Order: sequence, then structure tokens, then C-alpha cells
Amino acid sequence: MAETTAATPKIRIRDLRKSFGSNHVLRGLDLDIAEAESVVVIGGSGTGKSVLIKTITGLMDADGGTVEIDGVDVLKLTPSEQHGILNRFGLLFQAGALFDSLTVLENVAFGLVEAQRMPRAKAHKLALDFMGQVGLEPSVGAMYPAEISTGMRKRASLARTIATHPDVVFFDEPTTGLDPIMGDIIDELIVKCVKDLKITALTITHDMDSARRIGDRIAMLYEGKIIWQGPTSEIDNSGNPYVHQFINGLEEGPIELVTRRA
Amino acid sequence: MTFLAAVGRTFLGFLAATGRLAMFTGTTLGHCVRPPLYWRLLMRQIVDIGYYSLPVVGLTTLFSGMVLALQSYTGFARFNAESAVSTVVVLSMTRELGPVLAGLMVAGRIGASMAAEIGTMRVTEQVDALTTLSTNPFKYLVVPRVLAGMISLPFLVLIGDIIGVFGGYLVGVHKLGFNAGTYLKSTFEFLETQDVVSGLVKAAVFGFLIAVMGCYHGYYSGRGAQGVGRATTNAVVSASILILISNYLITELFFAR
Repeated sequence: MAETTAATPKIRIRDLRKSFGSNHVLRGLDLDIAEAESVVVIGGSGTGKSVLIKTITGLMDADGGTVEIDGVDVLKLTPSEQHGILNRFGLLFQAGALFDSLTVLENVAFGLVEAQRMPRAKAHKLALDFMGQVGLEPSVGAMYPAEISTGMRKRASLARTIATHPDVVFFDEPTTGLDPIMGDIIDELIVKCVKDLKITALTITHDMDSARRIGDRIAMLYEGKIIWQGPTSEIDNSGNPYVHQFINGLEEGPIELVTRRA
Repeated sequence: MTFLAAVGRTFLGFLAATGRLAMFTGTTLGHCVRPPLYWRLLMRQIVDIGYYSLPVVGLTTLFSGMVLALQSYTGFARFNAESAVSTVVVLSMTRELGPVLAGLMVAGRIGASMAAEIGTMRVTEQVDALTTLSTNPFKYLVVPRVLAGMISLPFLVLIGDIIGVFGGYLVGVHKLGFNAGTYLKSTFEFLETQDVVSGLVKAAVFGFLIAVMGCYHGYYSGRGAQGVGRATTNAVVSASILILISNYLITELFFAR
């Protein structure tokens, strides 16, 4: 496997394309993410943000393009090779996607037991540590996902995601459905995990407060392509009318004009 | 032209669905014979399918055995063949009624539940979560259910056969006035191993069909509550139809002269 160098980003996406019938969601998307960098992709609802993550992680087949992780094109791997790559990925789902039939503790320990073949007792001990890191009391471990709040489910899902020590983590709308206080807490946890564990992170969201907190860099997805990207500190002065309209939530602007034409 | 297009679309849709089901079944069988096997999940499914279906299968076969004794007695009495009642009950139960009734009952109870559970997991991205946690959804969700179906159904049918024959005995001895010893003797006199074995083979096939259809419809269920609801209905209907078709084919295989 090729070593990551300054010239070789951790993730390099080129000309990524994905369509559903006549609906062309990704239309030649290019994006680079450096090692231990946190990039946030923003964009309106239905612009293909979730499709981007699912295509990179192999949950959806891409129609074309390349996704290189450490110089290896993961889209061209066989299923068994992809399985090995997935071991290095973590994905925090929008609604948590905790397994209903398992307790919170079993959920957090799931990856350790099933993917890393760790003895159940040891995995549960480690899972309790990770639950502590995301602010969950040990007593929550015995509860089922249906018995805890949305915020706790997000925390538990975050603990499950980082428990397997992935080197790349994808966050799908991490603050959706949370109140502002809980959203702040989840954002802080994500920043802490990314920095402490030196994880390369790709987050998709349309929550600008969250994007500013989480991202080292922000990229805007529009009509299937990245139309602007830059450091988070520069987004307010991007000079891009689409970005300006989106981050300020303006009704008038090029995004609205395109929607009306459609 | 519009009519022809509609017929063509329906036919192509049918072919696509058949191909997808064949690939799903092939993948499932491939994973059934390759490690790892999730033993805990398999045991849990055996308890769910086998143990918790016992009351419904027991009640169904009990009353079927009772009504079979009653009906065959009134029919046979017309040509003085009442003594064949016990033989008819035992052969009908072991060859046909036991496996088919148990299969249909379990299809309604378990096939629907499998489709609903896996469909909900699909809709709430739990199936995707399994994949991202390096766990093959086929191995984790489908294989334990299919194996449990194939293991549990024969046991359920065997117990159902016994209960059904007992139902016939109750009616024959206590209502129709047969001698208990004579009834039992003629019950086993004409019963052959093949009669029981064919029923158990049918049960294993039905268990496979129920689980595969439940898992298949759940795995490919549409989005939202409506999608899961439709998957549940389709799982029960398709499993029931396949049970009846395969029942004829297996009967032909065992008993055609």
C-alpha cells in the first residue's frame, strides 16, 4: 500500500459520478483530504451529500471516477479487499443506526467483537471506556436504544464508531434532530475525537454552526460538484455567490434562481 | 401499443425480480457453508421459530386431526369403512396436513416478522451499519434465520404430527366410540417410515422457503413504513404460495408411481 505523503492526500476523489436513473446526483466530484484533516462538505438537502459518503464507503456503487485512500482506489477493489478497507473506516449515521436488538453496551462493543474478534468480556470493558469518553454513564449500557434519548443515541453511535480505532471517519449530519445545546456537545465530542485520535474526518452537514466548529476546511457541494473549498476561516469571504447565499440562508441568489428554472 | 408496453414492462420486472431472488438465494447458500457462523444468533432464531411457534402449530394440528377424524368417519360410514379412520388421520397428518399447516402458520408468524425486522433495519440504516462494522449482513442476518428455519420446522412438524394424531384419537375414541387399543393399533399398522420422512423433508424445505422469502423481502424492502408493510405482506404471500407448489413437487418425488 502506498505511503501517504504531502503530495498524496489521505483521500483523493476524482471525477466521482453517481446517478439514479435520469437523476445525476454526483457529476464529476473532485476532493482531496489530507491526513488528520477534518473537512466538512456543506450543501442543501438532496444535493447528494449522503450519496457521497455512501459511495466512498462502498455502501453504494459509483458509476465512475476514483476514490483513493492512501493511494489505493477503493472503488476497484474486490469485495474481500473492500472488507479489509472497511476495517479502517468509521461511519456515524444520521440517526445513529444503533442495533435495536442489542443493548447500548453491546452496540458499542459490536465492532470490537465482530470485526476485531476480541473476547466479549474484554470488548465490553473497552466499550465502557469509550462510553465514558462520550459522556455516557455505565448504567446506560444496559439499556436498549429505544429507551434512551436521541442525543444519547448519537453519543452511543459515536462511541461505537471510534471504538474500532478507524483512521478515517465519516460523519453524516451529526447534529440533525438535536437541540442546539446537544448539537454543541456532539460537535465538541467529534472535534475532541478527531484531534485526540488523529483521525481523518469527512463530515457532511447543512448546519453551518456545526460546520464551522468541526471543519478545518469546508467544501460546498452543488449540482453534483464541489463549487468552492477553502479554510473554515475564509468561508465568510469566499467571494462565491452560491456559498454566500447558502451560509447566510438568503432567499435570493443563484441557488434559488436555478431551483425556479428547474 | 400502451398495453404491449405495459405487458413488456411487467414481464421484464418479473424477470429482474426472479434473477434478484435467485442471486439472493445463491449468496445465502454460499454463506451457509462458509465460516464464520453466528451460533448465538442461530440458537436465538431456533428458539424464536421453533419454541415460540409451538402453541400455534400445536393448536392448529390438534383441531385439524380432530376434524379429520370426524369428517372421514361420516364419509367412510357411507360404505362401511369406518375402521380406516385412524389410518387416514395418521397418513394425512404425517404426509400432508402436518407439514403444510405448520408451514403456513410459521410463514404467517415468522416470515412476516423476519421481513418486518430486516426491513426496519434496512430503512433505519442498521444494515449499512453492519457493513461499515465489517460484518456481512448475509452472514449476520440471513444465514442464522435460514438455518434455523430448516432445523426448527422438522421438529415442529414432528410434534405437530403427534398432536394431530392425538386429536384424531380423542375424537375417535371418546366421541365416535372406537376401542382405544384397536384405534392405536390401526394407526401404526399401515404407517411407513417414508410417510414420516417425506413430511419432515417437506418441513425442512418449507422452513428454508419461509426464511428466504422473509429475509429477501425485508432486505429489499422499500423506504418508509409503507415499504416495510408491503415487504411483510409479500413475504407471507410468496412463502405460502411456494409452500403449496413445493408441497406438490415433493409429494410427486416421494409417492408418484
